[in-house]
Amino acid sequence: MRGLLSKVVVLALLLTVTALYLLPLWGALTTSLKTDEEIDLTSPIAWPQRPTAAGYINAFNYLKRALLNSVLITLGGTLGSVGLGAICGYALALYSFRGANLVFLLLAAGIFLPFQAILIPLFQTIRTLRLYDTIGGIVLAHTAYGIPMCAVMFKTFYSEVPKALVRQAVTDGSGPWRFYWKVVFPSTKLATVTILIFQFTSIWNELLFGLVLGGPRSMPATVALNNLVGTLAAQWNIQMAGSLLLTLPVLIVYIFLGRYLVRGYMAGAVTAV
Amino acid sequence: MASVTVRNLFVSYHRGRTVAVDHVSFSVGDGEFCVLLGPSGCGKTTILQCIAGLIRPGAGEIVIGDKVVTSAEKNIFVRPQDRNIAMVFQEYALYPNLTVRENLAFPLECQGLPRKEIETRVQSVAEMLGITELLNRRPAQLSGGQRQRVALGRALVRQPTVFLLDEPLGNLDAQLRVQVRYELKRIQRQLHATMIYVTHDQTEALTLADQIVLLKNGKIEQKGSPQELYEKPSNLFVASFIGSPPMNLVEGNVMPQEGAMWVDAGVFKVRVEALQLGKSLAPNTKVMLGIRPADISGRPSSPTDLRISATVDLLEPMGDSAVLHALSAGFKITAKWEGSLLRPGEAVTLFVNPSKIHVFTLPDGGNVPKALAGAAGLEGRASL
Repeated sequence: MRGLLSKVVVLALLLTVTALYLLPLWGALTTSLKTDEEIDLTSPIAWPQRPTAAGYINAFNYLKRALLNSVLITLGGTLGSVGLGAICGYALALYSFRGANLVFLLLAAGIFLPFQAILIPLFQTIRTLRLYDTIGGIVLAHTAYGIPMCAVMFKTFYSEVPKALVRQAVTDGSGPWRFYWKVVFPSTKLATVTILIFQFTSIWNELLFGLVLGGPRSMPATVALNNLVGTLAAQWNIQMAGSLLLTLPVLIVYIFLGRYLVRGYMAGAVTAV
Repeated sequence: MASVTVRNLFVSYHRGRTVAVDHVSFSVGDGEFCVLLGPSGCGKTTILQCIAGLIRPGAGEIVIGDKVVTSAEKNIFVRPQDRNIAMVFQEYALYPNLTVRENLAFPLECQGLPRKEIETRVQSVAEMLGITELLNRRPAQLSGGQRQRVALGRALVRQPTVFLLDEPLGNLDAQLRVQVRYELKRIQRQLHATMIYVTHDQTEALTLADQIVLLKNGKIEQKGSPQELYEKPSNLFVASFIGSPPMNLVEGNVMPQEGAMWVDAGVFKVRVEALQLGKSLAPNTKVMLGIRPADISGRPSSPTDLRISATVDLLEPMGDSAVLHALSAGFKITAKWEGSLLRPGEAVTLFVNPSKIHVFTLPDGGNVPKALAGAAGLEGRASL
């Protein structure tokens, strides 16, 4: 009896917290489906009397260029940082070379470098490279900034590849590239998926680089959405619809690939050794 | 196939503070099966990895065939993949994501051989090892013995000049070990392959090797045929390491008595002459006497045999024979026993031919060699 009671109490508590957590999202959903008039008259969390997709259509029209920018920036930044990070992590985990420890130390330090600390030199560098207000410039920034985190994560995963396999590959006459593509990469797909999701989410949600390095031609959707606040102050439905549109890709990725993320974090990366 | 020569090899770690291999030299003839034997930490795997090119030694030279592949002095170092050697590791080291077929083909793909040729070679090696039906499986779906066979196959398929095997049977159970051991020897004979094999198991060494290089603390204790190491151990370490069950060792003193020189070991006394040594022993020398369990018997082989009275401690039956553990004046004797069943506590008389007793000087443990032609008819006498 006491066990049941404590279960009920815990469940009630959890439900309350969940409801509180989801309330803003619910408010965003209801508001995004309302007309301007209804927003002024009803409570933000009340379900619309006549739901309309107008907010979404307007938001999409306003954001479509920025959404495309976001897609390109995220794809470029994710592939760049994960690809180069994987190579770094591979070299650090499986091959010993002079200065390896120093490289690792610097990479680890790179993780803890705050965005704000490098903003001004980064801006100057990108401008000198004539990459200001270009997709390429923002991709470059994300790639460079993402490499340390990716490299350290990959190193952790790749360290589980037995050293005997590396020695075997060397005596079999395989170079590091062949060994990577034929053995290491296929055996550690889980690690790659985990880090891909991690980077995808971080870059898609990122605001500061886009704000500083992007201009009218290259601004990502996060920046464009932020600009909505100033330009269309009263049109809550469009802002909310825009927010939800922006959340959608990340949500989809989590729904379909989230289980890999959990498994990747929890378990070893090398399958069936 | 090719011969391998290792000259003056020296490897140290921790900036010279730990010496792993201490000026080791030996050579392996073309088509010879050489076993590097020794307790763990003796440097045998390090030597193998130097030959493979996985470690660069601090000094010394390695020659495969007529080509110098490593020379610290001449600053020559041929990369592992260019040495045409194949290596088999204890951990099998099969690529987990590739099928058996792909595992076997991997080294050949690295060499850039045409697809047709790769297929033919993989097929013929698979047939030789009896793993044809496993070709499409992955390592995780194989048993330990099957994995070891695939690992061996991956070495064979390359047709290398030298095979390097690092405790390849270490992870197999006893029965399988005997079976794979036999197959390995058969293949080696068939291909006339040069093999260098690392193990700490003296049974493996004795059964497989044409030549054993016995190491301790990075130094060679003795090298020679299994028979040589067993019958003429150069020192106490070799004597106690080779042979199962290990040699019985008892300390003795050399002393003059009744006009002759005797070794008094407490358990028994034996005339020095009867030991048929190649040199004389000075009075008051301390020696260690070694007797192989197989040289102790329940029946005398000649009237000059030493007699030792003992009490049975335990008889371990091994099917066709048994290992007898007996006690004589506090001294524990191990013997290969082919006589009747004995009960603990039973009295037993053991016989030893004194010419079969090994003599080592103390404290250095060096062997006192036997006289080349034994003088027969010298008697020994047991004190008990």
